[in-house]
Amino acid sequence: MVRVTQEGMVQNALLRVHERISKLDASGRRLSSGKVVQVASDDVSGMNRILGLRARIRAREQEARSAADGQTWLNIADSKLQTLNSRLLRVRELAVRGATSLDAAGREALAREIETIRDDMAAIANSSINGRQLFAGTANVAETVTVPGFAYGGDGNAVMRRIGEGEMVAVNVSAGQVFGFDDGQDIFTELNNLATDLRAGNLTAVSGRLANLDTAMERVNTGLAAVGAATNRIDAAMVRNSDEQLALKGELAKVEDVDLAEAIMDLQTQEVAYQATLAALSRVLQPSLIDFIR
Amino acid sequence: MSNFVSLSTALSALRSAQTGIDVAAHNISNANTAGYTRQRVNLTASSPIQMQIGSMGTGVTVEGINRIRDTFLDMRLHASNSNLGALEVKADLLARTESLLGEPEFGITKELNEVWAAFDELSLRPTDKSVRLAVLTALDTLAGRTRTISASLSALGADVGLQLKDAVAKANDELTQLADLNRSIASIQGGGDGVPNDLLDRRDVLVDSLSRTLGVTSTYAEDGSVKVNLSGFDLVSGPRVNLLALQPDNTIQHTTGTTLTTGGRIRGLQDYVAAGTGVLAGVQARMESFVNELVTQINTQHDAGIDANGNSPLGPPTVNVLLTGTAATLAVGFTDPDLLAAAAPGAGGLDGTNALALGTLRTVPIVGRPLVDEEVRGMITDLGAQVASARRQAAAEDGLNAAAAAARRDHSAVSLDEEMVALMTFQRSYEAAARVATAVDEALETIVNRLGIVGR
Repeated sequence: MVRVTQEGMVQNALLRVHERISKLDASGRRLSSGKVVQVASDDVSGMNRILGLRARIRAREQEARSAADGQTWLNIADSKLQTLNSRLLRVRELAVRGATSLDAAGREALAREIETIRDDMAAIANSSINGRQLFAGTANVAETVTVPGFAYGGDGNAVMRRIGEGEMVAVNVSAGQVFGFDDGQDIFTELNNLATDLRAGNLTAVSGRLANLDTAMERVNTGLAAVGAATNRIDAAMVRNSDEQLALKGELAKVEDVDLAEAIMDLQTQEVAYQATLAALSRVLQPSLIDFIR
Repeated sequence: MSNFVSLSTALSALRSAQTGIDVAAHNISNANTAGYTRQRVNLTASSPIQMQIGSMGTGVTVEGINRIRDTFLDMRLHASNSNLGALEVKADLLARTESLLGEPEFGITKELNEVWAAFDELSLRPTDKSVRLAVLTALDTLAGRTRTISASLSALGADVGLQLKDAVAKANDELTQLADLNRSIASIQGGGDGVPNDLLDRRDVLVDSLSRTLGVTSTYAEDGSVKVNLSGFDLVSGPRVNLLALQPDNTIQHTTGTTLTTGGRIRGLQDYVAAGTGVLAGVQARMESFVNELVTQINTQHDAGIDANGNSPLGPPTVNVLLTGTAATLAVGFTDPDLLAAAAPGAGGLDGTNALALGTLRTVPIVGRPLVDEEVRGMITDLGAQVASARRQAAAEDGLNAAAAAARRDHSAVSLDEEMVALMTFQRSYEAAARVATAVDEALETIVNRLGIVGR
């Protein structure tokens, strides 16, 4: 027969109360912080996932910024190259007209217009983005093409942007490629020569230059195609990125956050259990033989 | 046969009833005393007188006052105390260590994520001074957080060292008290003056405390003194005590110079601060490993670039190391944002390729090295697993300990109801014995005053 003593009953009761109040406290802390996993020891594998998710979410956020920046580069390049194309078309028209016989005044007018277009193209070549030359690659120059002189100051390096995990894309087009400097046949020299030929009345030469103009337009189209391809990649990456951020944040919430309804129910259950323990405690400790002996 | 025999019989009854009431009163007044063992009066019938008609009883003798104590239950509790002491301390210190790391909101991982993002941002605007400053700031914040955590860990270690000193001093004090008690007990019990119950209770309280603090085992001698033993060495033997000596490397030595294997809370404290193999040393080593990877990999990649002045960080004209130091001294090596090498060698002045490469270290480490993120994460999750395991073990041992303590309590603690009944019983027996005395007294009165008076 187990002997029950006052001290024993009190100690047992205290143990129970302590257990209950610990559970109540843990439940309250979870509810008030909103987090199921507060330290790694609460759920080690959960914490591992949480840390991984947080790192990836931050990386995706940064990649979204890089992608948006890349889009700006490509959008500006696209519109500038379209303009360039239309100017080249105009030059071709003028060259065709100039290849037919015209009087000196007519040819002079053509030559002047071509020179104006050449200056426009120089302005396009010197487009800027965020205070930096759009077409100069990574060169730190004030002008991609010097005016006058039309010397090329840029380099052919790619400007890279990280748009996804392990995915980088070049967001620039180099003037060397688009304006023909790389082939040794830049459009400015070509236009200057054309104007000279027109003024000199060298019609054969002028017709000969038409082929060069076509090559120049091809170069611009190649540039436009590259810009288009990069734009598609970035657009796709941005859609993937926002989807992934949603998915990652959802997963993080699932692992980390408390289910409010569940937590509130749990807190109430613990409260009731605690009160029940206290009530039982008070009933058990009170009566003893002393009450009954006179 | 003397008529006074029954009178002395009644007297012995009165005395024994009085003793019974005294013992019950003592038990009742000590019902809430910690470590009190209930006492029982030990009554035996007195030696009878041999007479012709048979043997005639002569009343009751109080043999002694016994303590109701089971040394087996004591030993069981002491073993459990030792385990629980060590596990409790271990779980508590591990939890404190984990909270110092402050993950996931206030720790290293958050700042590390910002550093990787800052490098990528730098690749967008490599010549923008404010973006460059932002990179240095992010690195500085990470370095500051790391230094703070390292310092807090060291402070915790120092604190535990002090706790250890205190615990050893307190244990030595208790050992000395025990030796003194042994002397007093032996002189009373060995001297045949009965059992000094309350001194024995005090002795047992000290042994309980030592079992929890130090993990000692004890054996009881005939004369009531206790021999306290720790891993084969006697700390207290009779009135002699061999005090513990805490060494600078936090081990504890016997007076003969050998290192003792301790138990209890002191063992938990020692295991935490042990150099090289201790829990704290393990965490600090992981921190160093992380800082080493961070510094080495970032510096390696940074050195491969070109700064805003067109120079390499390896010089000429000066050597500019981006991150320097160990966990306790981690710092950014320079404050001039132009010295950040964002460009790749051979590219133009607006290039941001090296900044991108620094950001890529998050997912692709320097060849042959682990990921920096993994180093941190591994440290945090491994520590978390240790804390969870220690907590579970402590909880399990706590259950066993509670059961052992309850078993001893059930055996030795005072039940007020029992004492009430005892009180009633002895009260009645006192009354009855008083009646006996009265009856004998009246009978004697008849004999003395009325015998032989015929016709007076």
